[in-house]
Amino acid sequence: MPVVGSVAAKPAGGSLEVNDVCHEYVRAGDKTAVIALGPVSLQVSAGEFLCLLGPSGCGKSTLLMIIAGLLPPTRGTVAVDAVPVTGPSRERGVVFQDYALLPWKTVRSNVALGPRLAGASRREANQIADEYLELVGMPQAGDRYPHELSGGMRQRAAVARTLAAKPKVLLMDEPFAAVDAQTRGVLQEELVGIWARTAQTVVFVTHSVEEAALLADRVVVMSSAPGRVQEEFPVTLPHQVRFSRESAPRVAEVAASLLASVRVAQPRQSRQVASWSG
Amino acid sequence: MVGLDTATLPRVGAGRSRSAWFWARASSLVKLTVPFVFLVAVWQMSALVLGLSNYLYPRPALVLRTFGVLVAHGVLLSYTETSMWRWFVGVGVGTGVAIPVALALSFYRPFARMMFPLINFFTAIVELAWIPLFVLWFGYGFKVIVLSIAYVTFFPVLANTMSGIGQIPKASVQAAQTLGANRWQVALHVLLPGSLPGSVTGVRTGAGYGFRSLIGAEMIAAQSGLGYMIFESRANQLTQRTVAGMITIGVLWLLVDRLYLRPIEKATVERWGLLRRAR
Amino acid sequence: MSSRFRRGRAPLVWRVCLRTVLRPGLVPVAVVLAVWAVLPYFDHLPVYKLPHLTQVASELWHLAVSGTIFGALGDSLSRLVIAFVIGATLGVALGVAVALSRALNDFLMPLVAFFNAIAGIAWIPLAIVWFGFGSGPVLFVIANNVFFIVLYNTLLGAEGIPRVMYDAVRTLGGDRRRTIVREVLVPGAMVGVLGGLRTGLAFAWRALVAVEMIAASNGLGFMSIQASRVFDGSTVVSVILVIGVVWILMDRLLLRPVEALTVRRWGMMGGADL
Ligand SMILES: Nc1ncnc2c1ncn2[C@@H]1O[C@H](COP(=O)(O)OP(=O)(O)OP(=O)(O)O)[C@@H](O)[C@H]1O
Ligand SMILES: [Mg+2]
Repeated sequence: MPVVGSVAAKPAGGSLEVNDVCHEYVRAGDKTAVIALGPVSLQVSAGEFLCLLGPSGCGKSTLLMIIAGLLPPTRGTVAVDAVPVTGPSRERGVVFQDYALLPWKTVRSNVALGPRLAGASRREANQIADEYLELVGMPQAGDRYPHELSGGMRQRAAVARTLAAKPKVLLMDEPFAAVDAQTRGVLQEELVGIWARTAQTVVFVTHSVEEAALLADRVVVMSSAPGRVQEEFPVTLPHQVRFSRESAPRVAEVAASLLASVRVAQPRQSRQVASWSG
Repeated sequence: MVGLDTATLPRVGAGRSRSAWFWARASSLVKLTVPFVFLVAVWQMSALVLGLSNYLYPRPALVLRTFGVLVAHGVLLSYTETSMWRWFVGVGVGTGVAIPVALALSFYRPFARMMFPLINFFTAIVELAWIPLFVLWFGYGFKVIVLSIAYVTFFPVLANTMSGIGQIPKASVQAAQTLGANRWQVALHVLLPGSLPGSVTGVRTGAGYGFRSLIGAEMIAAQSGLGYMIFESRANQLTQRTVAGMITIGVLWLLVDRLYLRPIEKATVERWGLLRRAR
Repeated sequence: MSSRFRRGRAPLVWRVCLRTVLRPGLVPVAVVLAVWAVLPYFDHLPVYKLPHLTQVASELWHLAVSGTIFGALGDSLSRLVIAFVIGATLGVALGVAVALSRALNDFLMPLVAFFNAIAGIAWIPLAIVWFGFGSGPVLFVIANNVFFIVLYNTLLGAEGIPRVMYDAVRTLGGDRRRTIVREVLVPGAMVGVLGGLRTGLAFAWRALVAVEMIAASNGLGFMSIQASRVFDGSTVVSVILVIGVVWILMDRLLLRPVEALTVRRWGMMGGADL
C-alpha cells in the first residue's frame, strides 16, 4: 500500500503491546552482560500519546529500539495490532536521539526518502518533503546538507523525515531536546496538531516533566537502570486547551506531580550530584 | 542530567569475567589465524591445480623450507637488520628535520604561506624518482636509501605537525601569554606538546611510506637488504626466496606498525588529541 | 602611492598577468631557481652531479620539441590509467560486496591488511617472473597495489558508517538489500573509497616510477634510470621535474574536484592538508 499523499491523509494509529520486555547488552570486550532494561510491560491503545520519563541511562532508548524492531529483546515480545514485531518496518517510524540524518543527502532528500521508498516518484516525494519542512518551520533549508544545520534544525529535519513516512506508530527519542524554548513550544503544538489529525500512536521519550505534561495522554515514569515501569499518570486535561495561558497552572500541577515521581526514580547518588549542580 | 557511572551498573556473570576475558582473547586469536590458514590452503590447492613449476609458483612447503634455510644461514636476520637500520635512520632523519621546520613555519605563518607552493612541488615529486640523481651523487648503498626514506618521511611529518599546531585552540596560546609566557615559552609549553599528536600521526604515515620506499630503493640501488634479496633471488631463479622475502616484509611491517607505531599514536592522540581518534 | 596609481591605469590584461606573476608563493621558487643558477660560479661539482639550470632548461626544451618526453609520459600515463582503473574497479566492487556481510568482512580484513603491508613494490620480482620484462609487470604491480589499497579503504569506510544510518533507512521502509546498498553503504563508504582512490593513485604513481626503472624498457622511470647510467644528469633532473608537475596536475584536475563534489560537500571530511 503506497503511503503517499498530503499531510492531512490519515495513517491511523495501531495499538501497541509490550509484554515483559527485558534487554541485556553484551559488552564487546569481556562478553559480560549488562542489564539495560528490566521487565517492562506497556499497553498503548491506537491513537494514544504516551510519554516515557525516566533517569538517564534507564533504558528508554533501548525500549524504543526494541519497539522499532531494530533491537531484538532478550526476553519478552512486542506486538502492533496483535501482530508480533520481528524487524523494522515503515509502520513504526523513529526519530533517533542523535538525528541519524544521512550526511550525503540534502535535507529535502532526507525527508523525501520515506515517500521514495514507499514508491512515490521523485517529484511527488520532494513535494511531500517540502510540505513537512514547512511544517517544522524550515522551508528554506531543503537544499542544505545536514552538516550545515544547527543541532536544533537537524532535530527538526529528523522529525520531518519520520513524519513524512507516515508511520502508524511514531517513536520519538527526545526529539526536541536540542531546540530552543520558543521553537520547542511551536513544534510541540504542531506535533499535537498533526497527531490530532492523523491519529497516530505516539511513544515520546523526554527528560522534561513540563513537556510530558503538555503532550501526553498518559505518562509512564521509569525507574533507574535497569528501567522498569515505576508509575503511570493519566493526564486528563483536554489537548485543545493545554497550550493556552489559562491552563498553564493546571499543566504545571501535573508537571509537579510528575517531578515528584521522577525524583523517586533517580538513583540516590545522582540525585545528590544534581542538587549540588542545581 | 547526571549520567550513571558504568561501574555501578549491575553485571551478569561478573565472577566469570576472567575466564570470559580469556575466551575473548582466544577467539580473537582464532579469528586472526583462520584467514591465514585458509590463504595457505588456497595457495597449496591452486598450485596443485595449476601445476606450475616451483620457479613460477613456489609451493608453501618449499617456501617454508626456504625460510628455514635462510634463517639457518643467518641471511634473513642480517638482511632484516640492514634494512631496518636504513629505515630507522631514514625515518629519524626525515622526522628530525621536519619537526623543527614545521615549528618554524608555524611561527611565521605568512612565511609559511609563501613556502607552501614550493613544498607542495617537492611533495609531488616521487622520492623514488630522485634515486637516479642520488645514485649520481653517492653511488649505490646506504646514503641513497636513507636519503630517499628521509625525503618521503619529511612531508607527511611536516604536514601533520603543522595541522596539529593549527588545531591548538587560540585560547591555549592566549592563556599562556596572559600567564606571561614569551614566544619561546609558548613554543615550548603550548605548541610543542600540542603538535605532538599531529607529529606522531605524521611519523606513522611517513614511516609507512618510508618502508615502501626502502624496498623499492633496495631493489634499485643496493647490494644488501630485503629488497635486494627478493630482487636478486629472482635473477638467480630462486623464486621461493623472493616469496619468503615478501612474506617477511609484510610481517615485519605489520609487527612494527601494530606493536609500536599504532599504540604510540593511540596513546598520544588520546592523551593530547582534541578531535581525532587513532585508527 | 604613485605605483598604485600607475597600476590602476594599466590595461586589464597586464594587471591580471602581474597579479598572477607576483604571487608571494613564487618568491621561494624564484630564490631556489636563482641559487641553482648562480651555484656553478661558486661550486665545482661535476656537471653530471648537479646539472646547471640552463642545461636542464635546454634539455627540457629539447625533450619537448623532439617529443621524447611526451612519448615517455604517454607510455607511463597509459599504463597508470589502465592499471589504476582495473585495480580500483575490482577493489571497490569487492569492497562493497564484502562489506555487506559482517562475517565475510571480519574474515577478509586481516588478509587485506597483510597484503597491504607487502608493499606493492615488493611484488616487482614476482611480477617479472610471471610476465617477463616490459609492460606486464608494470601493469600487474600497479593494479595489485591499487586493488588492495582501495579494497582496504572501502572496508574501513564501510565499517565507519554509524549503525544508526542503517537503522534510519530501515525504519523508513528500506528493507531490501539493494536499497541499503544504494542509500547507505555506497555513499557512506565514499569517504573511504575516495581516500583509497587518492592514496591508491599516489602509490600507483610512485610504484610506476619504480617499476619502470626496474622492469620496463620505456616510460619516465626507464628514461631516468637509463640517463643516470650514462651520467646524463640533466635528463635525470628533467624527469624529476616532469614527475612533480604531472602529479600536481593530477591532484588539482582530478582528485580535488571529485572530493569537493562529494565528501567535502557532505561535511564528511574535515581538515586541510598542505
Ligand atoms: N551498545 C551498548 N552496549 C552496552 N551497554 C549499553 C549499550 N547501549 C546502551 N547501554 C546501556 O544500557 C543502558 C540503557 O541505555 P539507553 O540508551 O537505553 O538509556 P536512556 O534511558 O535512553 O538514556 P538517556 O536518557 O541518557 O538517553 C545504559 O546504562 C547504557 O549504559
Ligand atoms: Mg536515550
